[in-house]
Amino acid sequence: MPLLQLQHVKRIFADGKNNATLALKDISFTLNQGEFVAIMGESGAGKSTLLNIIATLDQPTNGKVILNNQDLTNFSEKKAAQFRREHLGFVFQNFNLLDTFNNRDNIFLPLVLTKHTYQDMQQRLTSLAQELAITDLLNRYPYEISGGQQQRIAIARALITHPDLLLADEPTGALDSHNSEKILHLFEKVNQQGQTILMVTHSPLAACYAQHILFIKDGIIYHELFRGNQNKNDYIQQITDNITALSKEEII
Amino acid sequence: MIHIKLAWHNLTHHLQQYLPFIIANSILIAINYIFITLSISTLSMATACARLGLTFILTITIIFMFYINCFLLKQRSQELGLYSVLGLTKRDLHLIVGIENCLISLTSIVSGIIIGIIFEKLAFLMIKRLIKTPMLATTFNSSAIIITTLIFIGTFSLLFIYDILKLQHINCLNLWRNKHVNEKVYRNHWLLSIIGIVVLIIGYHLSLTTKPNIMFLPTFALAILLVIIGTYLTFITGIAAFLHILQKNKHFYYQPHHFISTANMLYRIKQNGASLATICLLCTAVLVAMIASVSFFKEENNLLKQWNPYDIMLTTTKPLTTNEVTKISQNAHANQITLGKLHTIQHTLPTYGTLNDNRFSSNNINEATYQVISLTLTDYNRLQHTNYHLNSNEVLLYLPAKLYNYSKLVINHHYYYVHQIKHFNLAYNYGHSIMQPLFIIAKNKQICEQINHKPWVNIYGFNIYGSQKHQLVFSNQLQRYLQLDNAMISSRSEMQIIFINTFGSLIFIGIFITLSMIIITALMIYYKQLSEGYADRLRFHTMRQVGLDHQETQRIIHSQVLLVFMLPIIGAIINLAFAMPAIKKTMMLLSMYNSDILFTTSIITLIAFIIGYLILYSLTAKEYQHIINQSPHYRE
Repeated sequence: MPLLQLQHVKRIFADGKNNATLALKDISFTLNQGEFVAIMGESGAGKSTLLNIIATLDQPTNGKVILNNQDLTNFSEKKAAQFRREHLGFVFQNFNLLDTFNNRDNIFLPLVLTKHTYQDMQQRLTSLAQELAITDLLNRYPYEISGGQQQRIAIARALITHPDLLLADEPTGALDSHNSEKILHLFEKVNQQGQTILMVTHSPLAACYAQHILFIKDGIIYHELFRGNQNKNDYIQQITDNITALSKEEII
Repeated sequence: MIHIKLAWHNLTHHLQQYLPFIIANSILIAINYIFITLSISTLSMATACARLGLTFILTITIIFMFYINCFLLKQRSQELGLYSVLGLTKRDLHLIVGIENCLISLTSIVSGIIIGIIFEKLAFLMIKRLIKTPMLATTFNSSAIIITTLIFIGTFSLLFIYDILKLQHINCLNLWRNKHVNEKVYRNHWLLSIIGIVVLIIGYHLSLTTKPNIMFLPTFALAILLVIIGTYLTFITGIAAFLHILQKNKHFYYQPHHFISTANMLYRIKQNGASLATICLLCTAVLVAMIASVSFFKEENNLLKQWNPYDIMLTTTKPLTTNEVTKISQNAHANQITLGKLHTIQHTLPTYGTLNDNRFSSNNINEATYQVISLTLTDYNRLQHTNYHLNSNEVLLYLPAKLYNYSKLVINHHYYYVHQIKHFNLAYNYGHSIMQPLFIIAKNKQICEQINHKPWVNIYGFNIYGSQKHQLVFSNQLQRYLQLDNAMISSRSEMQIIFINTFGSLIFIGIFITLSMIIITALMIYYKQLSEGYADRLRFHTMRQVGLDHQETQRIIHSQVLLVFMLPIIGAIINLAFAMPAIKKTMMLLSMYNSDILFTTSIITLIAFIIGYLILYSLTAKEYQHIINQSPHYRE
């Protein structure tokens, strides 16, 4: 069952004069319920623009974005914010936790914005905290814990709303390999429990956790890759080959 | 050479932080310069007020500079840590910080004095036009510049010493991390909050209990100092405690905009508390200065009447002879002056003392707040054309603009039944003293002497009609002819000139202080909002990603800015309420006893002030929103 559909999405940035930049040319793809998809591409390929559009933080110049049978492209600002709170979860490269709140309140933030009761929030947190092994961190502040721990808090913040779609922007970009692996295992685990994930990444090691990889170049989907039944090492090999192919063309 | 280069680099690359600091410094130094100019000028009475103002503004300036300096040092500690990692020694770091400090202080002091000179000239011109006093003119004063420069070189040196001590205690790795350490949520300091409240209460208590006597001004200055310290401590620790309590209340705290604004406020409470306290104190100063000067302005005529119920008041030890009276009228005629009716009484010289409930006890002049003068009923009835009768244990009492609440009065080991009277045409302030006159009218001379052992004097009062020039000449001739010293004769036309000079300059200082304080306050608030806007921008951006909509953002910003605005004004009103008795006493020192004028003035001033404050609020809220809305990636 398709959860997210992109139809001929195009995005041009115009600065009011004649300097227009084409960020996305024509992107179409479908994301099914329960899938774990990675988007790969070089810097400037349009990955972040694409993610912003799906996240309702930006709107396409042309084309449609449909999530759960709702067209996201015509949302008002208020509606978009509400939609983000209720249907989307975000994980960022720099964690984006707020130093003003302790970890518990950081996780509660989206729920507070949707006016959940304290009991309800606490209930949701208890089981989630155990799963993410963050129970001991809750009363501390983001600046008092390590990067890997911060990212787990950020994941808890994204998951506590039970989002339809989890969007991750380079979630392991600021972490060491050990912590990266932990986070990716976590993603795999929640995905197995039915969570749909869309992840943007540079790293083949991160991408190999996804069942389906989209390669973006110059604003179009240049190539797609499915894991299928192949083992991890072959899959990684294929990913790196693709990346090499992508950059080779540039040289030629 | 490398040190200068690095220091310069540090300053120019963090201009966003340093420029507001330099501008704020310059303005504060400018205001200090102006107060120093006024304090060393020869404007007599106004000088005392200027010195009081200087104590206040200098304290605030130094506290403010220290607090900003601490904040900046932490901000740049990462950079200094980097230099240290790259191999610069502690000595190099000190040199860099020293050079930075020199550059900042040089710019601040020079621009501050220039702004001060310009502002002073402009303000003088403007206010001169407003109140039309002839004698006000300041001259370019080089000693004020020197004093200002020395004071602030001293202050900046202290800042530098502080910086060095701070750097001494930190190794380079800590320096490197310090920027992050800085951004901690503030934890409660109960001891400090208790000290703050105690100091504040002592300050308030002093203001409430000091007597309007000669020791009043020094005590009041001490009270001001205590209130400043108390306000700072209470604002910083009190607000933090208050926010912690809010945070503990889960039902309140987990509401969208309480949640975000409470946490935001608490996060930067140390900076917030100090700047809010500064704003609060400045507001208090503005209100006090405004109220005092407007009241002085309005009371001027009343005061003249207090000192000179008739145009000419004479005090003589022996009654005037018929010959002398004839000579006076001849003299008047020669000066084209028409004389009014001559009124006369005898009364005793005043006894100084204090009035506790219904007991008058004589005191030395340093503690006295009242001067008791007694006169006979015969004189009073003749003067007022009344027909009172008194027994030997009864007296009439005249106390200007005050109600005497007791039926008896105990004085000199005797008690008398008291009837307070409202009219006494010859009531005046004997010797133009700072003590409040208390006239006691008794049955006969013997009882008068029993009340007050002092010798008797004769008082004459009469009006004169003629041009002011002739009046002045006449009163001078009269003084010479009757061989009276200055305290024994008081002429209204002469007084009027003195009044215009002293009160003109007093009002001038009042308006001037008000103007300068308003400017600093507005700037402080503006910079506070600006710097917070930049600090909050990233946080609001993250919250929007998580799903905070535009409308909610506006609402949160409004409630946050409103809180920031309401706290100082509430604090200022409380401070003002406790300063009112002190203002009232200051006015009593100047023989101004009408508290109605003070009250209405305060209310009107307060309303005007709040309106101005709200305008400032809406302007800065807009600016803050504008900054928040320029989020880096939000809807490009």
